[in-house]
Amino acid sequence: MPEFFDNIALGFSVALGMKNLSLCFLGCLIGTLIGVLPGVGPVATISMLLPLTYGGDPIGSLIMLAGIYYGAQYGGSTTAILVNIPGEATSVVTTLDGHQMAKQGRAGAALGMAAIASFFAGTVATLVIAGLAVPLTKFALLFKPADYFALMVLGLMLAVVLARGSIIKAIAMILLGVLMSTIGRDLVTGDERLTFGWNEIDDGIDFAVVAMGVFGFAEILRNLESPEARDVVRQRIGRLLPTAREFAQSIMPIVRGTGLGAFLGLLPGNGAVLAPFASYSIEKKLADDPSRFGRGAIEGVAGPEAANNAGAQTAFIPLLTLGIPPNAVMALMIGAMTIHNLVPGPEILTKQPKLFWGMIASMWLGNLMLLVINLPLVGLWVRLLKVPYRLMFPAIVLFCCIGIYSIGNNPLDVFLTAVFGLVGYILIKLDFEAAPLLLGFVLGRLLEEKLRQAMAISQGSVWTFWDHKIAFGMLTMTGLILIIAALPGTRQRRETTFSD
Amino acid sequence: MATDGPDAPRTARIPRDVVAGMVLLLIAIGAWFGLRDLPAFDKSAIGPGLLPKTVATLIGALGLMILALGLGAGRERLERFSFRGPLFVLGAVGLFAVTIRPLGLVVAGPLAVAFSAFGDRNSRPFEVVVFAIVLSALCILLFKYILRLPIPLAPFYLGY
Amino acid sequence: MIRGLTRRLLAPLAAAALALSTLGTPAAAQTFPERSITLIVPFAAGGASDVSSRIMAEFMTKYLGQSVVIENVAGAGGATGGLRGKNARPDGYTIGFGHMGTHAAAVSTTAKLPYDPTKDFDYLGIHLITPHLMITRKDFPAANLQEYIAYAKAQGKGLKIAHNGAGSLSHLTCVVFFGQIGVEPSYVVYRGYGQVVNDLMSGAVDGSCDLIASARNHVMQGVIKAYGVATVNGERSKLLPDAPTSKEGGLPDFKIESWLGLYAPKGLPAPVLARLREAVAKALEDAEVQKKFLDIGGVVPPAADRGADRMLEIVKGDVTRWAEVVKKSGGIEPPKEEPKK
Repeated sequence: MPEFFDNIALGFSVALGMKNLSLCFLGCLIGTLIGVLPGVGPVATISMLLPLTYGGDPIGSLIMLAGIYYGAQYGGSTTAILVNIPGEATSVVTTLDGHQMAKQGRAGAALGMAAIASFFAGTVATLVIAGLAVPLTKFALLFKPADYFALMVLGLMLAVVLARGSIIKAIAMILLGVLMSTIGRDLVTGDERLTFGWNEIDDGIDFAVVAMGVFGFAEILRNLESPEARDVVRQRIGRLLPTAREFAQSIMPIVRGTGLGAFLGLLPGNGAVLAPFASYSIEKKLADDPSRFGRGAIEGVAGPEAANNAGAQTAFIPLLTLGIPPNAVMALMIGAMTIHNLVPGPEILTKQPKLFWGMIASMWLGNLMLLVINLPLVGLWVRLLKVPYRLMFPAIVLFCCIGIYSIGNNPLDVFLTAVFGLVGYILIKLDFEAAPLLLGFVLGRLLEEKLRQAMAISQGSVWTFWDHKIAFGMLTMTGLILIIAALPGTRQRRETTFSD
Repeated sequence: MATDGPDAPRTARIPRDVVAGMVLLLIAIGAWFGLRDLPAFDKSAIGPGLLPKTVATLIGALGLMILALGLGAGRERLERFSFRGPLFVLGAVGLFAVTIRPLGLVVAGPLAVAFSAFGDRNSRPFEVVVFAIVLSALCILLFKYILRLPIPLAPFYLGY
Repeated sequence: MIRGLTRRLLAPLAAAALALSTLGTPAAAQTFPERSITLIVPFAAGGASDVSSRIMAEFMTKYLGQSVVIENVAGAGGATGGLRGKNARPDGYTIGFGHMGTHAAAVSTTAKLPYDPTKDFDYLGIHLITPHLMITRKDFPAANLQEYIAYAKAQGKGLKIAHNGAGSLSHLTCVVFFGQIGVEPSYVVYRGYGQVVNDLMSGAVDGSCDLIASARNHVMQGVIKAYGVATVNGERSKLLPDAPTSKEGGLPDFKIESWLGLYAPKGLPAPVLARLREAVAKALEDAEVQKKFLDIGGVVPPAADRGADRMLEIVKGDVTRWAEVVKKSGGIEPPKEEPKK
């Protein structure tokens, strides 16, 4: 234990240096400012700003990069709450209740709660990394492809809970998302799938393109049709901070979300993406009145935001201890470390303790700074809603165009976003929801890859799901949930739970 | 435009879910057509066709179900589609895509802002033009000069 | 503030106007470059392609006196960026990055590749090479390449080999290796080395085929094992001096080294092309550049193997070579009408 405190002290001695502190601040600030642009999520923000960190010394650069990451993540939540556009898969959940809260004049409370939940989760997750990173390393390696497949199946089941309206339609949207995720060249055989001879989309469609289209542009089109609805958002500003009652409601969801996120973030293969969805499902199940969810329940912001941030943080564990990037952001981090001749993996701890502990200390400082930067900014963000909508939406359109273009420097992506905007508009008219579609889109690709890996490893034997106990356990759980849902007694209750 | 009147969106006579079910069916059929050559099983392993074909089939089945429910008890009617919003907003995005590389942000930026602004019936032409220019200038400053993103500025004049 | 801004905005405008007015004349070539140069990297930021390009760009910026700006144009496995490089105006202000995958193997593995690497480009030089190798999980029961081969032959389909996706360099390396030893293992396909190494460490798969640039760190940490480093000259690579070569392991024909290089679109004015080639050549002589490349898992090729003319030869040779590999393996993409089982 004294060793633990020595390490922490070493870390802070590095991170609290004037230069590193200001780099951390700068990173958080730029990350927030770019991440808050609609359509620009953490991956896009980091790949845009990565070159900024290439100069300078390794520790400072990584601290700044980590700051950009947290900033972008929080900025993404801000956009999700204010204008209903998720910058990444994990903030899809935040749009559900966060934007509803904004519409009710509670944007300040939603933003404030998101910042506080993120800070709490970030603090706990940092402690987890500092104290348990090394023992937890083994845990990640327990999961084999068969187990991941089962986890994804369970995740897709949870997605149904995201539905505000008809369950059948929600399932149809999840499946449509899965179908869309298969567009492009097949990873295993190289066959083109659903590209209809159009090579440009061989690599598949970017998440940001789909999210911007079906969420962002479709939302604008909906607002243009009903001027009454959109004006509600800007006329009522309300409190800037959550009330005591809202705090009380949020504490347990934050704790549970943090636990879930910290656990799922450890799993390589982007387990963290499930965290906010799982948190939302659990909170909706546990709530006394589940019908509040989707209509501005603060637990629906607090829990998932905590889960999101905890997962984002513990995702550093496989990176730092094994040199394995669990998601796209961490892959970028490896790139950034390589350019400074740092080798992510167990040696970083033994050979570069200053860097390792300095980075961990700066993670916590980064979270603190986000709180410091963002609580005052909440007032500013909320005031942005006062901008007349006739000026706001053209601005959103321009930011989206620049953001989407900058992800791949490719005008085709911008064009595709317009196409998905039309798709999203049609979906709204047909009363289909976009959130389940996006989750299906994100999980679909993993689902198929893991299934095929598991089957290739077992040489075609489905008994592999029996042999892998984790997989078996999760598939059994999924089955049980299905059976409970199908039982006549509970069905009656579910109708009231899920329908408007 | 008639569809943009104060009482918009008006409704058509068809039950909404009938159309919803039909759209899903069409997607399923389209997907099957696109996937027809891909085997579901490849030697002993799972082939490229298995998952998408299964999913497409399920989408079709759900489509039929939604269609049937809509025919039976679909009280909700399909809302009219408006043309103004999609035309100007999505048109502006398309314009940006077409102009950004040959003409750069100097042209594509104001164009996208101004064109999309007309998606709103209440837009004021003078205000829109000023706003478009100011906003684009700010974006150029931020993205091009502060963040140094490789987004074209005015290739016809500057070469980048 | 406003004034500084105007100056900042106007200065490049004026410079560009000047550049435009003299474009295409010999004077332009002598004063090249007069504004920033765009270097197209056909992959997202953060990977080895991007990082190596940035190292080159940094030196070239210093050497040419104008900034060389990276533009990451990802898409279609690198074909989108390659096409843009091919279609760029041949004035020297747009150059591009290509490697053995995008500018040789892609001809055989990508349907309708929108450019011809042997005809559409003026090459500037190869800046980095990295040998391929075979890797396995830590407890794989083979002490050397001979034992590996013996074990693979005994296991056959029971050997679980991971690769990074159809048509990837990792996949092609597997095809070459297992073709040479006459074994057909079970392939398990992943999206990139990061996922592969996870399942190697967890023991879910037996081995994989990749580049030293990817696997080097994990091999040096001892969490995975390396066999048969496929250097062309048969000598050990200084990137991984403890790992025996394929020649030492009794499989001397297993020789694959990936190269990474720069190109310009076809038809540059000769003096401009010469100036760019000179900048690349000078970069490769620079000790700091060489050290940075070593750090990312690659070496600068020997002087005789990195020039522009040599690069074209290597491109042509590799296009033919991979076409044969793909053909021999029955195509990377399986025949469309696979009998259903």
